[in-house]
Amino acid sequence: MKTHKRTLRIVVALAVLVVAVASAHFGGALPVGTLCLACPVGFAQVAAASQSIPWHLLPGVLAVLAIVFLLGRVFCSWVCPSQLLKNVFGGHTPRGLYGRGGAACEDASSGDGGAPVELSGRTDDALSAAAEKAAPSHSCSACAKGAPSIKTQGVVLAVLLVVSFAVGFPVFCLLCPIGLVFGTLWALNRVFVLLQPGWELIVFPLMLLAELFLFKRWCAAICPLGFFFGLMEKARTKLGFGVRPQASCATCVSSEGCRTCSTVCPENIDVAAVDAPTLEACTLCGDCLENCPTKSIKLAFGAPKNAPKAPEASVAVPAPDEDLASKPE
Amino acid sequence: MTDITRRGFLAAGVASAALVGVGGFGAATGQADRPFVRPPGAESNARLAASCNRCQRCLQACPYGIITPVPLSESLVAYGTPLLAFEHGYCDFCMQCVDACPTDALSYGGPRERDLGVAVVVKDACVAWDWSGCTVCKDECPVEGAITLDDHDRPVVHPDFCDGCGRCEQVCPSASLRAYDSSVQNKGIVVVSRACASAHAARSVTSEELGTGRYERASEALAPHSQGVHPNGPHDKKEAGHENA
Repeated sequence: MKTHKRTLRIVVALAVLVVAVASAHFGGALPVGTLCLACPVGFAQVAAASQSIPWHLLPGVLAVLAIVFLLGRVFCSWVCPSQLLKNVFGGHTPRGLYGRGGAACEDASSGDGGAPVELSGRTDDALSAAAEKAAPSHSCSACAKGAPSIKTQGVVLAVLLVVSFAVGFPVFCLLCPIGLVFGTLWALNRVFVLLQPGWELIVFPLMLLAELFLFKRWCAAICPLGFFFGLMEKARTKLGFGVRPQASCATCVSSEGCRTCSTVCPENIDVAAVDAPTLEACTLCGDCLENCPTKSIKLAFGAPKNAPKAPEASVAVPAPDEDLASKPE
Repeated sequence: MTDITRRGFLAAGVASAALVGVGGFGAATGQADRPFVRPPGAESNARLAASCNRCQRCLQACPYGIITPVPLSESLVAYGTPLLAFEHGYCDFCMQCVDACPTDALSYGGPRERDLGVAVVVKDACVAWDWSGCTVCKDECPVEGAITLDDHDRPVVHPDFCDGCGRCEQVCPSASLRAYDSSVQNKGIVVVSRACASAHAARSVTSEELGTGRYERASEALAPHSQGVHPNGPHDKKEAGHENA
């Protein structure tokens, strides 16, 4: 799998952290704050805990929701520090809302011997493995219908707001992985600038480890931010609005069994067979664009068109054809 | 739209339990309104803990770098909310932190808008209690009348005047004057929150009393300062109570 896009995502997300830390040291006139400034969950929590509406947070929150409406969950793969950690420490397996990509796919594609599940170590042979069982139906689109579970996220958010209201302080801020990343940065700052080591340096990384790497369903099932994002996604899906990856029927080789896009996709979205609900999970990471063997996937505006499933679309697969032949099962 | 899967339900359940646990712990221990010395504009510790979303913008805005997040070892619940530390500077009420605050955790108005806390003299650390001669805190205090000297030339803080700006704590030389005695760690004069038990100690405390009383909430907070001419930004001064009351 090509990883230029992932490197780029790491750079972008790191830049956000660098700006926040730099502002803490050289700020004064320009306090840029942290991502908390635009956090819809923080807004809701503070409103519940203080029983008054923090109006100054509203512009940032609305801006974030507008971005999600226009571009989808770009925040998740490009900015979120949790995803940054997953990109950096998650090995070569793309991990998205589902944790290890394909975990949600297990049942749906059980007949394939878990071909879409094993992502690690598979590069170009993803094509060959998929090709040798050229399933006519787009089986993987079935597994991807499990968009991030907005219901469980909603439950977490509801509990969170009730608890915040009852105890009088924003509770999720103490557990939020994004906050923990910033907390770790401030703790490092404390060690190196004020020379005061603290427990944060041990506790926060451990909490992050537990939340992101042991609790793999954090993003999909728990993250209350995802609830707000999910709502926006539903709205834009309904309106058929916004930027999405779309496969071009002319060159897509999905009908010949290529499953590269769903294999590299952290959310297991089969871009060729894409339907509206599936795309709710898309974080616009760009891995499918980068890895598509025929470069058929482009970012396009508007409602997704129907998948290229016509069997006569037997466009010659360029180079990987030899690959297929030379790699029997 | 999907139904809730078993794993999803389990995950949400565990997360909800954790939220209830953390919230309950905070409420049970009363850590949320532990009396810290907060930046200006914090109405009360409880109010700040409720409104602060720990965005660290005040920390970035402070031109003197005296705002620091509450460390985890001090409070699990108030972690990351702003705290004033006067090692490297003091507050002149430029109010840039209040301007930067996106919630109403720090806000204008109210009797405690410019009332950070009150200084207390630490008997066993203050060198003027052992030898007369040191008057650094009184000399440096920006508020005329907040610190005076008693008959033995020892500093006495007047809570009516003191706004808790931290200048005395910043400049107090006791730690270096007592460098021979490593048991003395405190500054000879320390700013504490008006909501804490030590604020009620009559003018001076021992290190031991300060250790326990500093973060112990008093049943009633000490009244805010009401007199004196106070700093109002780096180049300005104004009389107490003008915008406050």
